[in-house]
Amino acid sequence: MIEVQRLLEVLADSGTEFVVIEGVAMVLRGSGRVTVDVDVCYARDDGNLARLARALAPYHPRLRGAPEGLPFLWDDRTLRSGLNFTLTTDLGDLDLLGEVPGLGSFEAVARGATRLEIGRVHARVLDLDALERSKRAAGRAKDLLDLAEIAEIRRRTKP
Amino acid sequence: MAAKAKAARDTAAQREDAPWDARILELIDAGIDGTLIEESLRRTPTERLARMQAMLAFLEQAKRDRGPTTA
Repeated sequence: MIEVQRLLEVLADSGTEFVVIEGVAMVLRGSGRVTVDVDVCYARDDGNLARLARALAPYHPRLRGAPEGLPFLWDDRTLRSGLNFTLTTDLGDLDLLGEVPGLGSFEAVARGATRLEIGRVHARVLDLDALERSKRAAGRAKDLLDLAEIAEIRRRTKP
Repeated sequence: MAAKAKAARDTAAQREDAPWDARILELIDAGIDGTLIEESLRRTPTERLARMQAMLAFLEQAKRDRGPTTA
């Protein structure tokens, strides 16, 4: 089972620049849904790639759904040569996105986020406006339900 | 009468301009549980996450208790 809090602590403690997006961001913003993985958008500068690679290495990241035995080397070079990674780790499933549809690269994603206190971590989490833009751009059936929830959260938090 | 027709035309125009999700959600009930959201909004982000983890743990346990399924 995914250990969301622990994963966020691992990333934050390493100094990795990241933004929590997708399902966990929805939950943190008030959705009643359940999600089985953590999605984050990460900064693509060399320093951040090195921090991210070091932080996750002890938790044995491997490609989710890849055939058993498929060689996969987890390091900053691998991160540099790709953009989006769907991983399984010892702490659960983790999706790393270099860009988010409807928002853009990390810098744009970070502009649509604010920091929330989650346990002992102050993590950047996508806000409702940015979540809405990303969901609208992704356009999957599950995004429609998230958009309905976002509208409901807004209705209930309107001053 | 004319005002009514104008209002109907305005609504249609608004629908055309509305994002795809708004147009669909106008036609269907998405089945969003407002009380669940209300309850969630009373909690802190930390508590919201803990609640989700607890629900996940419950679902995992239920799956284990059910045992292997046969096709």
